[in-house]
Amino acid sequence: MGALKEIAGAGEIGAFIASMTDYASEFERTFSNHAPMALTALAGIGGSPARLTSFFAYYRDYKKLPPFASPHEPLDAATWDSALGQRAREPDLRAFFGAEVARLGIAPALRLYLPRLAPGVAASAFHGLMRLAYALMRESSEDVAVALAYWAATFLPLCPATGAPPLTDDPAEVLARAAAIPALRGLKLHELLWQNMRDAAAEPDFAPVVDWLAIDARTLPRIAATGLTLFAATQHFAALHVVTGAHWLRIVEPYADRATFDLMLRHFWQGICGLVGELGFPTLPDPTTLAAWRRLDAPDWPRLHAVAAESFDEHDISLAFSAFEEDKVYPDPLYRVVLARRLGLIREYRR
Amino acid sequence: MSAALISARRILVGVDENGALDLRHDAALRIDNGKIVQIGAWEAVAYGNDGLARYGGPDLIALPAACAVADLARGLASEVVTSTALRSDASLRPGSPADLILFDAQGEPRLSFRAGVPY
Repeated sequence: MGALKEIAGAGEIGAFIASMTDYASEFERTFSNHAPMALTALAGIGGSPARLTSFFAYYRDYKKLPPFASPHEPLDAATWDSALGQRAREPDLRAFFGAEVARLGIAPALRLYLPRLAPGVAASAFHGLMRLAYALMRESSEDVAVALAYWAATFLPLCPATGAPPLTDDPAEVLARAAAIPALRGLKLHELLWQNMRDAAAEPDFAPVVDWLAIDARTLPRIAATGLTLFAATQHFAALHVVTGAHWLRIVEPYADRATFDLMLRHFWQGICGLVGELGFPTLPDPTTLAAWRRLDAPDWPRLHAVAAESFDEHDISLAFSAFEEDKVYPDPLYRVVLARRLGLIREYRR
Repeated sequence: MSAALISARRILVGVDENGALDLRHDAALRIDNGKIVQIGAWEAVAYGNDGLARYGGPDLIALPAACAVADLARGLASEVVTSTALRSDASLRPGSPADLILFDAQGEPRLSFRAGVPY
């Protein structure tokens, strides 16, 4: 993380990204404001200060980013969690977490507050998690407080874990089992991912899903691998968030105790399972197909990053950065293939 | 000025300093306010943009209007052209004006756009 902190945590770029706290965390209809994270990712893939400025000017105007609101009712250690899931209280939560992170420091504050937040990791479709991960990559106390407030204000508890015995340690099997729940077939799809997770979780037959995955030290790598396979098979927007989400979880992992992180993993995958309808009830490719996709001739990372950095789409940039970071930890040529396909640099390979 | 999605089998976004073609394949352009803002797989550019006008098709070739000639379109369709002398301002990269022409595989122009508006 040190290199990114040097690029995006200080100097002209760092100051520019820090100014993103002036804008609301979400805009129209609760879409997530990706600007702080996309700018950091853009810096991470080689975007110049001028490129960051032009990206943000477009994004701000296209999304009509509103300013961040002012706090109106103070919260304290005894009352802050009364505001969980209340978007209108985000300014109050930001003031609270700002004081707490300043008082405790980043790591102690996260040890204290992540256990309460973990079951609601689906907050704003994992974008509270995303904002926290990027704040940690920049090692910014202010941004960590902002992220905690955003996560808390959009806190999205799905069905709680019951401690029932798991069925498998394979996230793909859990996803397939969830896709086989008949009640999920008839759900109306919304345009926001978190709304689709919420509606899936409201189905009684979805309640056991949270317990199906056995969580252990290899769960995050398995989620990363399954997410990559899922995205390779679908190129779907929701699947993209599994690839990037695995990266965000990996960044946050050192700041959570084992039980908290396990709970986060459990609810992360539960949230993904809540998206099977939006994903079109996908079937994952067999190993032979995957092996053939891995052999495709995709450009190298510098070329991929140069092309992604030209895009005004925040998800192109987010994926380019996260896929690169994940490939360092879980080396797999498929990371370059899926990004190359998203950018149109290679032909459609799924025919 | 307009917002639209334009799909094509091949999109010539420009050339490098050696004249090598910079192509996108089985891809689409997302146009906003007359400029190209995204190029990529259809799933990437179309998601969340259901309300945008849609043009193009899976067999078409998209060329910058400044260099749009039938021979080049035919060459790209048949994959025999790998380089070309292209005006330096002929670009379909993000940030560029959406001035382009769609050709069919026989090199016939099918639809032209200026600032993303068909004419």
